[in-house]
Amino acid sequence: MNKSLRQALIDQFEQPSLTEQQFQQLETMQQSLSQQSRPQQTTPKKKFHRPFSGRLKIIAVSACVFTAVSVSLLLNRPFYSLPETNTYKLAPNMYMQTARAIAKEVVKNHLHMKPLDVQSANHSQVQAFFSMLDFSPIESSYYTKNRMMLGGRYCSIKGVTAAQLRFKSQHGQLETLYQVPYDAEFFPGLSGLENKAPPLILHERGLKVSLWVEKGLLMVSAQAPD
Amino acid sequence: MYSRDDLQKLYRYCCSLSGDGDAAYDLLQSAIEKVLRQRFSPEPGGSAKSPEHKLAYTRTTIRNLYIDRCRRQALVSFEALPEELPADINANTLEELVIQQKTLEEIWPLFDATDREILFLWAVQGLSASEVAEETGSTRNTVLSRIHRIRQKVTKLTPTKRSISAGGHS
Repeated sequence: MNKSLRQALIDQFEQPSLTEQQFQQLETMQQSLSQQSRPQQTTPKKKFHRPFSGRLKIIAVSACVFTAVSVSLLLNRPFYSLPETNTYKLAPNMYMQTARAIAKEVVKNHLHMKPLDVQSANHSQVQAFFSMLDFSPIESSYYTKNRMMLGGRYCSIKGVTAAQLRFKSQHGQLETLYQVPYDAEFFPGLSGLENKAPPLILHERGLKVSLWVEKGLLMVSAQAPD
Repeated sequence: MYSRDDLQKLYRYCCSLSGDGDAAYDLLQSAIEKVLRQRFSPEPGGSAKSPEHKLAYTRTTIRNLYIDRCRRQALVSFEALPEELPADINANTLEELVIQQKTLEEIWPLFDATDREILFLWAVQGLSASEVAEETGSTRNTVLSRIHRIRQKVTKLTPTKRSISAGGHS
């Protein structure tokens, strides 16, 4: 049936649609980024009432320092101790930044295809090989279908020791799956992947990189795009 | 925050540029991240003027990102078009065309990213040639030249003359 070119184009352009999973990922990303900008938007415009000025300010600061020193002496602890970590401040800012940094590192490793430390199609044998890790690599429910395991080697992600597992897809392409203990301190901003969230999919150097958290492990896969 | 409807529209715009679903999604993610980081706030009191302005701004970001990526990967060359216009061209050139959906799908791969973008902005966004020029940062004549080429492609590559009827008068 003939129709106007405009209508035919509209029908053509409206064929592709975002999936529910993609909507959720984009919404999570937006929430993370909007949390980051909120305090910065309100602070400069707000006029604070300043109770202290001039000499009063000096007296107030001196009193605070004196009190802090006194309390620290009483408790036998230095008053200038910094908090143990400040990564909570970074968390909302770093969702995509952290994910992209991990994707870059993983793709670099994937492209190098260094020799395997253990070669086996048996997951238990490969799992047993990684005795130096402080975690046990698992069979991911998202990943292992239609793939044959080739083996594994030690590697690291962001300086954290990780297991690199290599697979062969049903199309004969080599794929890698990285597993590392998920710790919000080492991977700030990735809290959006917790609680069985769908994998975050990125593309880096022509490869598809998926990140997800499963059974306390951060999983990162690198493979050819679909 | 973008609504799901906005995201869908932007995703389709990304598809019109990249011609590939995965690449389009990646492009959309990067653009949204960039726009939100620039604090182009869609919230009341933010710098966004209107929802449509926000979408236009985001489309520009998407376009710039896409061009950057193409240049980096040397995927496509951006050819300059002559400013001189063919004598018979006008803004209604595409309005007069009639086509079968199947035929359009067959000739679809022959449109490049620039063609698809112009067609998207014209057909889906309902922009005029001048507005397309403004949005893409080119001149009206360049857009009209492109439209002329698109029309030539459509009429030449259509298997039968019957499925296309192009009006000759303006």
